[in-house]
Amino acid sequence: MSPKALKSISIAAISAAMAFTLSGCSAGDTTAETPAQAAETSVADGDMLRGQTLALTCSGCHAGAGDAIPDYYALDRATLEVRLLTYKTEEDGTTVMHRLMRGYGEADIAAVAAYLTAPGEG
Amino acid sequence: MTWSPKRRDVLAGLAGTAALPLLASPAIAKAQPKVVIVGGGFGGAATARFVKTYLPGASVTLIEPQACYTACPFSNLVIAGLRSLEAQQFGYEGLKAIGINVIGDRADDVDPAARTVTLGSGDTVSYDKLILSPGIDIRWGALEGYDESAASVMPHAWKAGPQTSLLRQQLEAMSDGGTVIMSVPTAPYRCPPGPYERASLIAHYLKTQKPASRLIILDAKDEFSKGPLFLEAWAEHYPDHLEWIGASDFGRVISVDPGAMALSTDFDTYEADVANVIPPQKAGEIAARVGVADQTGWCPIDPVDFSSTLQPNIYVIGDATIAAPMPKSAFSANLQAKLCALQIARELNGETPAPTILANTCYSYVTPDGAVSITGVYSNEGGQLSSIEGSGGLSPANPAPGVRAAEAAEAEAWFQQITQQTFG
Ligand SMILES: Cc1cc2nc3c(=O)[nH]c(=O)nc-3n(C[C@H](O)[C@H](O)[C@H](O)COP(=O)(O)OP(=O)(O)OC[C@H]3O[C@@H](n4cnc5c(N)ncnc54)[C@H](O)[C@@H]3O)c2cc1C
Repeated sequence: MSPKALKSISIAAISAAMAFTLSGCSAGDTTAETPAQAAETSVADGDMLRGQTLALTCSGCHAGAGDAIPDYYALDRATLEVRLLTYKTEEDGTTVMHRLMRGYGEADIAAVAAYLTAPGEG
Repeated sequence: MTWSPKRRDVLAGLAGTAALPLLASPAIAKAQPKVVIVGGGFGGAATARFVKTYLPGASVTLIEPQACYTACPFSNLVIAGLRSLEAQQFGYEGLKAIGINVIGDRADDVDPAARTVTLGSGDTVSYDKLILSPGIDIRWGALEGYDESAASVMPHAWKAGPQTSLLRQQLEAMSDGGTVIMSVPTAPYRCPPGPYERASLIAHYLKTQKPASRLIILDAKDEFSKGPLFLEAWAEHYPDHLEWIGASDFGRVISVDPGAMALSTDFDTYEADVANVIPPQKAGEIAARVGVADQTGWCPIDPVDFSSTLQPNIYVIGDATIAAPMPKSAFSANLQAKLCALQIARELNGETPAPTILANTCYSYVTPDGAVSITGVYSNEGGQLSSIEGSGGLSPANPAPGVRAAEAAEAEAWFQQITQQTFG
């Protein structure tokens, strides 16, 4: 298996999306990593394999067949990761996704988001 | 490549299609193992599709005697007259179309040493890897009086198909003022919340069509899956049509008499106009014959790749396994199928399968347009499945308006997705 073939994935978009989502509580914070610094971060091969295994759970519901459940193919990595982290951390959330994401660590959430939104080549 | 809707439609449902190249790398693609799967239900059909996806070079054979699979999830809606049985049925054309060899016969026996499966026809099929997903069989006679002939009078409807239609017909034929009795066993059994979803929908049918009738649930347990949410819904919607009697109140049925339409507990004998007996169960019979079931009647597995702990080169997934706290659900069977297929592909590629996180979500209708859910998140580290603390759980009690309806819509979307992913 050669996950090395996967292109490195910029997380600049994640920083941007996070800044947007968290603007209410982080206004004026100037120490955050700039998009340019983050841009070269790539996903390790091991994380991609971990993401692939974890993501098997997602596709039982989320691959576009049913209207009432969002299709992850429609999202970009940053949006997906932020959404999943929000589910994990919103204490009063009661949806299926809130209850599920509480069982996943942040690294696993990042791995899943990276895997599910990785550009395919086939 | 980028995903055009058209291409996605073709592959819709195959997990992580965006990352197929990761899997179909040359090393894996050139492996040409013989993979045989017994049982074309939620577990087996998905395994066949995913093995074929991960190992395009493999010869993949699915052995399933029925030309058409009838799904249990949503079959309670059929029983309540809210859905057609046809909407539950799926053929195997989608599997054949991607190169899976579907044999319309039953597996009669397996020789683990010779690595062959003997079919009903007497023919044999050889394998490198064998995956069993035979679902459940009824433990006939475990409940006194409940044998195969009793099931044609007191249907279980716990395997969808003719039994589902029979229970529906009996409810329709019953005159108003009748008593419906449902008997529920102790765990483990297929679909822990299933009896209570069924009870809710039958109560809805009685309330709206036969208002002088009622349903009594005789339960061998005192607590049950999604219990608080069902009890809340029943008090709100069916106070005059549904009564639940738990074990402490002598709800456990110890024998049935189909001739008299009677169900007996330690304390009382109940006469029914319609009796739905959900009996004790075990792994599909082939499991015991192959030697992958233990004395409990269920199959112990290694939870990382779902290989049998009792026989080499044989894997067991779905309802037949001992996988608690993961429930015996179609969602679980589907995930176990995908995980088993992926780990087999990785193993054939020389990699060691690593533990991961698994999850389950099951929806249950409490009214025709309202549902509740239970979720669980599990680790398969350390040789066993365990729930991850602080995660999972039930839909909220006393929810805001719209919450039950939203989960009913999710349930429907889930059914569409999982059946498309499984059968194509
Ligand atoms: C009323 C009801 C409602 C349910 N609702 C839900 C729900 O909402 N959500 C959910 O997730 N789950 C639900 N379930 C549970 C779900 O149906 C099962 O968990 C699921 O079907 C398990 O899949 P499986 O592959 O293990 O078994 P099955 O789907 O039963 O498939 C087994 C297959 O193996 C075949 N077979 C058996 N023996 C042999 C042999 N010797 N040779 C060849 N083929 C063989 C059978 O013909 C069958 O097609 C419900 C179940 C019931 C009864």
